[in-house]
Amino acid sequence: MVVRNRTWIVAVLVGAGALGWWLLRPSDERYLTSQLVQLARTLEKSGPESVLETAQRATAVANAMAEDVIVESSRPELGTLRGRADVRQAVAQARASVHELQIELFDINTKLEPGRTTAVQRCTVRAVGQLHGRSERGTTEVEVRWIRQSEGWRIGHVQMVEVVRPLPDA
Amino acid sequence: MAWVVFRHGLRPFRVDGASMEPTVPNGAFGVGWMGAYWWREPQVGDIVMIRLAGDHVLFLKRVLAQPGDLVEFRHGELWVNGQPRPEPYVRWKWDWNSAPVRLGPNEYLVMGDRRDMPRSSHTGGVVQRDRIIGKLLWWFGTAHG
Repeated sequence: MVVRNRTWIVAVLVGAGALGWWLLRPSDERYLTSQLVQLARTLEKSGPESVLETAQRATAVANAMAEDVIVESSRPELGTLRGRADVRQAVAQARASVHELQIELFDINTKLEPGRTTAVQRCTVRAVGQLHGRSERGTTEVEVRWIRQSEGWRIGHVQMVEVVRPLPDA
Repeated sequence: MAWVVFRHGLRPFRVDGASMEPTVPNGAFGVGWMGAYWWREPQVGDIVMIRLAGDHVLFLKRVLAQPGDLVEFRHGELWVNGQPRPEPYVRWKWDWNSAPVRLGPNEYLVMGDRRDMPRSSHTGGVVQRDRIIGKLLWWFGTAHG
């Protein structure tokens, strides 16, 4: 009877362990989600920072990108960034002009494409910043395309999704 | 049961932004009815909830025109199908001007009620029908001055 009880306990523990592993197992989707959250944390700014820190953070953001990354905005006046160097420069310039920046990500949805060497993420990004003494905020949907490269997953394309299309100018 | 009611039926939310002032103040608490458009289409004047990547953060905008309408702004006034359309809910206006646009079969014109800023600074324009997922049913809050 005792042996049988122990067998049940072991079976339950093994089952719970397997279930726990299955729920918490590392996956590309989880990894890419955590990478995106980490990227948002890197972009945030809580106050004045040194030139060195600005450069370090801009480099960290650029290093998450593929060499030939394209970052497109839904607003033509904001232009398109092409390549890591463009991204590094744009991030450094933006950090120099923004006093504070908080970024929140919602509804992150990561889907690996067939072959598991590319993935598409969609999420809602809400940014609140202090710019020239004024509080600015913006909310947008973003699509991020990841590519698995020899050095790991890198962002190949970022596109702001135009949920509401502005009317054309007169 | 509660999950079904609050996910697919009545959705409580808090307004974070001033684009629907003075009708819906920044910081107001509200309830959206997610079943509003299961059997009918959004109507002009409805305050609707628009999804982004998911439904945890939504835009709240007013429907100004429906599919097939010709829409434009002339000196801050909304014109629909060649006629000015009164908007008593708009208290503050900027001199908005836009080129005429014919809305497609699944397109709606949505804007916030607060228009005292350049059009480029206001999130509003043409939205696809499948982005509209609910209607503002009730809200409670006081305008901040």
